[in-house]
Amino acid sequence: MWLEGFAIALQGHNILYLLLGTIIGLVVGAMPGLGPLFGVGLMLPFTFGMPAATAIIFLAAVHAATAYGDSIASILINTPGGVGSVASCWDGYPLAQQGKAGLALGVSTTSSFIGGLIGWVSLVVISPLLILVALEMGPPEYFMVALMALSLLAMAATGRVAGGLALGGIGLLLAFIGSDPITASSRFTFGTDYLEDGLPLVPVAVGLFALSQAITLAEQGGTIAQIRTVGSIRQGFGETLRRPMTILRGGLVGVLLGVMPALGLSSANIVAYLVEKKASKNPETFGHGNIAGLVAPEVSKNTCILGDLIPTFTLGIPGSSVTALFLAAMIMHGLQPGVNFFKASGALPYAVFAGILFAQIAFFAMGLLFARYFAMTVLAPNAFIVPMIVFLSFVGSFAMRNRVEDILVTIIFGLLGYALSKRGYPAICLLLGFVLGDLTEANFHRSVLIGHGSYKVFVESTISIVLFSLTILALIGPYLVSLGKRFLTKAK
Amino acid sequence: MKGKPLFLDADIILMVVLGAFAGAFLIETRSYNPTAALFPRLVSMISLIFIIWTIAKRCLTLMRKAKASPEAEAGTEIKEERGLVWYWSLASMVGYFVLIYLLGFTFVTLIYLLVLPLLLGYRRYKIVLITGVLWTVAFITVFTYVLHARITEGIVGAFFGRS
Repeated sequence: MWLEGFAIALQGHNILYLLLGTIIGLVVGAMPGLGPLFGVGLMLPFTFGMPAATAIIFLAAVHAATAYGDSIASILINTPGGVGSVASCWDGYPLAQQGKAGLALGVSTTSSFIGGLIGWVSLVVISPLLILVALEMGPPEYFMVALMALSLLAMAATGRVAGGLALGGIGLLLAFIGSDPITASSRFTFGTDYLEDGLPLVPVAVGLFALSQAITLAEQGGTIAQIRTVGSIRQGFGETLRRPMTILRGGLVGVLLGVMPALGLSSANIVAYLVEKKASKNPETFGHGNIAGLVAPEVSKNTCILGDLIPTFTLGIPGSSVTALFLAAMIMHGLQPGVNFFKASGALPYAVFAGILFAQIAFFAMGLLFARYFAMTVLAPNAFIVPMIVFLSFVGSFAMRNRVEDILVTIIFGLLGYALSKRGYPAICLLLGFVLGDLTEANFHRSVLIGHGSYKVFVESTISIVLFSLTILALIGPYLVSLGKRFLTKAK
Repeated sequence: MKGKPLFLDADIILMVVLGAFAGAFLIETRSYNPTAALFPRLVSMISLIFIIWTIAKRCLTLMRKAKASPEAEAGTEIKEERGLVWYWSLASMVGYFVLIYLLGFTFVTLIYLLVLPLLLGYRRYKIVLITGVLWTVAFITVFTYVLHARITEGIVGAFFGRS
């Protein structure tokens, strides 16, 4: 079956669409704000006339390349290409500033590729096991996962803990705008129709990170690279491969967040970054061009996007909005997701899996070919780059829903992002709160409803207890360790 | 103690704005049913506590600084002069948005891409012209032929389109 699948995927027209999907994905991904959701959504209607395997392979190529392309803008101009690559800015951009844009892109390309491979292996080999765990999880467990992710706020707010936590709270409040997840009543819309659906994630993220960056660059003048060089892309391979534990941690976070429906791309790279920072012996170097701080989110992001596909293919439950589009594509082409996809489709699932693997190889090869040219961006004057960032940010914000009001949201959050960065407050706390708000609240209320109003429901399952213990440990662990160290020093 | 009053400190202004935002949310929760109000109320109260804590910490730091060296504010004027760039960068973005709303995306984008680099001090006119035109054309092509999406024409465009 596998051989047959690989043979189908290697047919001429499939390879052609694979390459086309990769090029489209790279271009879309490199534009600020436009991520895999936009890329796959954009290309879905074009697959109508294609055979089923070709269509899924084409979309898989767009998906993989968009996720990789997202990092290009993040690294070169400190502007997240999409919500999944916010954390790639934090150490990728400082590297570009230090004249190591080529190295950073090399690291990003290699890490994304490795992440893709880990994701592919998890999709093919360990998906049945992970699904068993995921199936055991209900709203109380998801609430615990959300709580665990929220505990990362304290870690993200390094140096400005109170301010960072306040920003996390503001992010959560922003997530509550729109319909209440249980009673569906409108909240905080202040009488406007625009806010009925809640604040859109892309304009908020683009504003916080891209527009604020445009203002900062305009202020700085000169060029992004403070040294007029881009460094070696090849060096990026070695630097990535020298960090197997970072790759492992990033991969693990990516698989775990990918396999759980509703968690995913927007949180995977941030969580992986913070986990890596916590595990590092030199956490103070994060944010100043630490390569591990780029490897972890990149691996995690690309693992996660394939991990997202696991529940889609095996259960017919989309892991994220992008995979919901994959689900739509499968149904559109007469494929039945779930157990039947493997039982009744002959070699087709294997062709799709082979195609997904080739998609990783395709973006890796193209990334290597073009990374050097992309890297040159950092040598262009800021006066020339700033209008481009503003233009692309506006287009990115507008394109998702074709609403001019989204641009205004981008500007407002651009101003807020600029003010926060100027005063040294971590804007990421706000985004983390915003991303996790809905998940936290909805699962809390669902759990209480399941428990008939009792809060015991949160500690009834082993998974919940383990997750809660891990959260507490993550919060008080560092204090306990330093207390222990102090005690030992005193005893000596 | 002479120097800038505490309420003029940028950190404090920022936190007061965020506090007002959280406070408005807290007041607004009074009109919601208990289920819909529970989480926002809890989060806004916690946020307000952290905001007050941040403001208090900042006030203490500023007071300590003012006591230690009254001339600590030297050099502020030079910084503010350079800092004006942010102000008109933001103004240009708001202007770009308002003009998009009035005149539509296409024409305004072309003008913005041609004018802003020059305002920011970039003097290679040919490059500005070529890239400005190319980006605008690429944008129209992608939206019209690939996305089959409607590019906003603005109020003026819509008016003339109808008549």
